[in-house]
Amino acid sequence: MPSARRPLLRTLSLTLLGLVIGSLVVEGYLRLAELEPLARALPAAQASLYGPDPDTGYAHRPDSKGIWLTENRAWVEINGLGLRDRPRQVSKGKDAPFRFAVVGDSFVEALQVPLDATFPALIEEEMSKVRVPLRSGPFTIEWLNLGLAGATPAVTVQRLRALAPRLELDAAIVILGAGDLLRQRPDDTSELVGYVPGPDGKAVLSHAFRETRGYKLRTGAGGRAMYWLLDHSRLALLLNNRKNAGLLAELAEPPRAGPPKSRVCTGETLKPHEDLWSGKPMGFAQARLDAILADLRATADDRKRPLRISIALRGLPPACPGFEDRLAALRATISERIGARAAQSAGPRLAFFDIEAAAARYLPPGKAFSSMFGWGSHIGSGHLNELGHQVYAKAIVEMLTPRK
Amino acid sequence: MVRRGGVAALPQPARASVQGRAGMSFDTLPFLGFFAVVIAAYYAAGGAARGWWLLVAGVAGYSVAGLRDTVLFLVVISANYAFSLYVRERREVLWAALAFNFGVLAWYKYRLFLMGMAGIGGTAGVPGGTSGSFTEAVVIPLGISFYIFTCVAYLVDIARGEIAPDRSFPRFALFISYFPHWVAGPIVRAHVLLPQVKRIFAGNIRWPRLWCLGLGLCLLGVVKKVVGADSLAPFVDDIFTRGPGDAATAWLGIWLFAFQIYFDFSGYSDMAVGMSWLLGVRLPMNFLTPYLALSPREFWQRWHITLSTWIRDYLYIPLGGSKGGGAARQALVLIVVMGLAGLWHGANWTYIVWGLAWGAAIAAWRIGHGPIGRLPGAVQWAATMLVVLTLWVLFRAPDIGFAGRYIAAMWGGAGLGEARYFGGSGGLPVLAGAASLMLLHVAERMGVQRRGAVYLVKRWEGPLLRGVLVAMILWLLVMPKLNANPFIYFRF
Repeated sequence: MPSARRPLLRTLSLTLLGLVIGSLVVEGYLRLAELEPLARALPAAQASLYGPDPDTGYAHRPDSKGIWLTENRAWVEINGLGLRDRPRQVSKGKDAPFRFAVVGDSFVEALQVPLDATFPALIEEEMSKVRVPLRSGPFTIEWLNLGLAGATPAVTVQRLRALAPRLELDAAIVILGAGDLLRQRPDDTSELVGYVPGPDGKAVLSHAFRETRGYKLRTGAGGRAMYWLLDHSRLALLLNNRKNAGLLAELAEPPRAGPPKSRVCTGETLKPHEDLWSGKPMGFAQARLDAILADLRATADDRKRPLRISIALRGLPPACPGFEDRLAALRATISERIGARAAQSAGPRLAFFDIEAAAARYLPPGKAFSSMFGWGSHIGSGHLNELGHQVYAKAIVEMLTPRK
Repeated sequence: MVRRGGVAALPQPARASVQGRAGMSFDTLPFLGFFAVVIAAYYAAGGAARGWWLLVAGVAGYSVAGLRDTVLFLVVISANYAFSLYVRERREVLWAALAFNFGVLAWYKYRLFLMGMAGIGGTAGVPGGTSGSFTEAVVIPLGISFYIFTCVAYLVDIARGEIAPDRSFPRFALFISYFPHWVAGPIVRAHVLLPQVKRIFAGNIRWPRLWCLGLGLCLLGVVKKVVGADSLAPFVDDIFTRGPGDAATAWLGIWLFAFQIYFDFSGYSDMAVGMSWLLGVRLPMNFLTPYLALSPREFWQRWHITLSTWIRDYLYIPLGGSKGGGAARQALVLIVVMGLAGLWHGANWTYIVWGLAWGAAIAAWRIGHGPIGRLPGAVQWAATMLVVLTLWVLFRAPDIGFAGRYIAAMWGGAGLGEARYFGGSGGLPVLAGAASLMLLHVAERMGVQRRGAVYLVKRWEGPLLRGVLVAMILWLLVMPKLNANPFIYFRF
């Protein structure tokens, strides 16, 4: 080898070695930053918890774990069943506990708080302590958290349809975003399951995402390798975080702080919901709502595994000063429409549960409804904080407790 | 009221400026990309082209702050260049120049405050007003406080005959727009930087022999900002927003803020000095572990050193504070000058009172230096830290009233809110974490700021260590900011 090249090769080799050593030092730091109590404060790589799923487009990746940094900090673990929940068996086993599930989006998934502070976990703990007798059924009760961040109503419905028989559920509370139901266009199915117009004009669930290049890549060998790296290297997580944020993220508009979104209710707030639930034409929204109720009824009616489903709406105002009659009428309309669907076959297995009105009754004295959401400096005002989870747990336990 | 810190938010009209500032913050990937291009082209260029390249880079980099800020920057540079040509011969030109520079500063930074004081509008100048750099809805032109002070120092040095004016506009423009220091200092004197600028334009640059020293300083700065300051920001914001519920949390809040602002500002300065080293330029160090000071005066000899020396040379000594006139006059001058230093930080009575209080503290220590000096070092340190922490409350608080209530809470008065950090099992880790911050400060003094550190770098200088340092800097900058925490001193 010519002598002139040797110093250059030596320099390059040593530089490369230095880059590797430096990278390993940062990998070590990132792992250290996940240990308590350092995990409460130090910058770290945010966990990657999601992967492709044939039923919904994406879901939690079983056994993934890490720190969730967006909006408050919490250590998050996904169990072997792919749920943000404590370890559970797929089958209920010979003791046959009564299995409830709460299905919804990030509101239920609640990555912002530790698992044992989420309302499904609080309900399970409360009911197992008190061994509350249900109106019917055995005493032992499990509460599964089927929340999934970003879940649209279609994802929520499909998730329940797919998991209910597998997990041997007995009952479920399905929490849908009231605002999500108002969208008047068909769902985008390029990445998620969604409702699209069917041949007869009714809305049907479409899994078109399965044919996309992105889905095939993620489910192929390359995708599996990528997820293996994400599970085993914090530097890979860091790159994933950067990819999600954007290479030039710092040049984008900074996150806005400010008070939580106003929950002041007006006539204008109520009108779209009134129109939707009373059946007025609203683009594709009516067809979608019909399909959601039909699919949930069909799930409840499953011959092999019938299921009791309570449909709850998140985002309806708990109170509407000056418009109380209209709000009460809206609730009655919602209950009627769900009841009408239920009457077609599901009967008492499908019902409306006014979760936010129930929660409002259990607020500590002097606390506003908005105090259940967000943390400190107006962060995360769309998600329940620890107080919110406690209130929701109380409201649901109360709903299930037989009245004396 | 718009909050800063844990979640940054600034109003719509300032959006472009905010995006620009965020992107040009040293601890970001976009800035790293910018610096990589600048340094590569700098060394690839030859002769005077290097100087022109740095000048273009400085102005182009500054331009992301927005059109208003850039035009103002160029106007100030041009006006001061013109002033510098005549200021030695004609004293009235110096007065006109000072009026221009301080007039610009007053207009862009203090007009709301002055209007409030005059009762024309807003609450900015009212003692109970809530305007403050941590809450204010007005965006000040980027780095204006720093470059105005640099210009003023240059003109006064010429007028005093200490330096000759540089007749080359490009050289003068580069002296002001040299990008590692235009946003948040160090405030560099002409006799330090101009000769280096002349060498750059003459094609006679100083090749850095210890690349790892520059890279090491950059890494130290990145760690201080990304790991240090950004970790503390959410807790400080939480305690100051919700209000401390007990004395322990109040002390914790201000202790954490003390280190947040130290990591933030000294980290920035370390990066500025480190980047300059890599360009073959020497900038002065701006911090020397100030929380190890044994007196208020020593604190200011270790904190924002270039501002302290500027105040000494261009305010304190000319106003007669150094010699003669008696202790009372010296004390008065000191208090007034420190009050002005406080005002420099922001248009709010909290900063003015902060500065005045510092002046009073230094004067009091000077008067009592005999008995105080005989106390054990630990007691002197504790007394100094007491002053430091108490006065930082004024710096962080949105208004005087809040500051007063916060200080009262520190001393056992009624809590201000709901934040409590020492309940249950969380107290010990919190205490340990808080204590570790001072241990890190001592470690910085013992490890990084000794000559041994330089010898160590010299011994290991080479491609291996360079690779290690570059990798660590890169990965820390890859980490995205899930909550935006801009450099605190960008606000000034």
